[in-house]
Amino acid sequence: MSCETVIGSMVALLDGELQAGERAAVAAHVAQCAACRAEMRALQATRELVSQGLRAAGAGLERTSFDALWARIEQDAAPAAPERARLRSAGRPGASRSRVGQGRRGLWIGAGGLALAASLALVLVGLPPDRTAERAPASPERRAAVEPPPVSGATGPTPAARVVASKPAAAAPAKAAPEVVARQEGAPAAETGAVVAVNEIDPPRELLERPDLFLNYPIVRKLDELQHLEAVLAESPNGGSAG
Amino acid sequence: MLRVKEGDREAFRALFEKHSGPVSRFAAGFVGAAARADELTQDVFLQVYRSRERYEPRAKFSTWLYTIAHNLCLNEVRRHDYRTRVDMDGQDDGEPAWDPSDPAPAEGEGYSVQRELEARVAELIAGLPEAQRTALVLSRVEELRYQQIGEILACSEQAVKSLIFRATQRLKAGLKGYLEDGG
Repeated sequence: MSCETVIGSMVALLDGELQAGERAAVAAHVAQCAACRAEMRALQATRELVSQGLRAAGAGLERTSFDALWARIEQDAAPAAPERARLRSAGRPGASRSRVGQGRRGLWIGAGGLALAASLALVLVGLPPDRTAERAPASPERRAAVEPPPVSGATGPTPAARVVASKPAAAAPAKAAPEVVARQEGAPAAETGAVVAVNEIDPPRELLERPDLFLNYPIVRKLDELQHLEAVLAESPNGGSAG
Repeated sequence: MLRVKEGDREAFRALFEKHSGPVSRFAAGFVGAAARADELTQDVFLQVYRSRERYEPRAKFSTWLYTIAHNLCLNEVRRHDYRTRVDMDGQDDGEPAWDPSDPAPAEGEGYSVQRELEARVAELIAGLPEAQRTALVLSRVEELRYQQIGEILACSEQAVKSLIFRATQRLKAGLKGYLEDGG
């Protein structure tokens, strides 16, 4: 048995994972080879240091609470209103996100980010408003999101409102925006705007069960770097005036 | 687990109480950040509960559990890039946190040396390739057999033996300052 083969089996020997025959052969070689004995001692010491370091680190861990877990399970089982509220807040500046265990929530925020980025791109390149309107679903809620009712006394639309108001901009651009902004500040949400609308639908079951499918997309990895829409528009050379 | 499949909360609590400690230790060892272990452990059991109807008792429950834990921990480290740039071969300036030629630590210094060792081990493990890291942590922390580790990693026992050996070799180089004879 060569030294190389013996050394390759040393850790398995220390772990008690060698068959009797191989164990005897390794032991016999080590008994007569000083270099292998030194290597064996070094590997054994390393093995013990690593176990010691890992166990010590694990000893100080806080005990996870089952009640906290169960609360998450119950929330997971009935995600309707609170989940949507959370998703809405996720689109606002300063909203915090826990990236571990977001599971489907992370995915749908990611999906929201994708949709938002796509919408933004369309607006910035000057896609005619009618085309975005064609893509909007005909449901009343979606129409509310893209067709805020005009109000009087408007000044100018904020950047955030411009995207949402891109469809009716040709008809009443200056009037539509403030209403949308007001709703974003305070009101419940199905009508809060495009950012919200993309998150209104629960993910398909296949995605719930396979969160790993999308976690490696660059857009998902860089969620925290996504700028809020207002900030993006404020920094845009066009100042969000497209549309 | 069969009761858990039917949505029995108390059965799930018993399962959690039995296995959450080991999962938490694995997560802490794998991601090298104890602060993340609690949330990762919750994520693992949340996934267990979500997937309970698909569980089939063909393999050990702990194998299935660690497979989930392994996947979630992998996602976690890939997202956060916990990996610390460490010269695993010890070819850099080598400055060990503790020089073995120093006098033995006086009483009271043992604690800080121990913490330093923990930090160094965590740093080195974080720098291992993923499969080596998983195999090593499962073996060192939970003392799983190579066969079970192979089932979790979907590889042979021989491959596990090789992974753990290579991981130990790399750690030996990184811990040379802590080894009595310098490795």
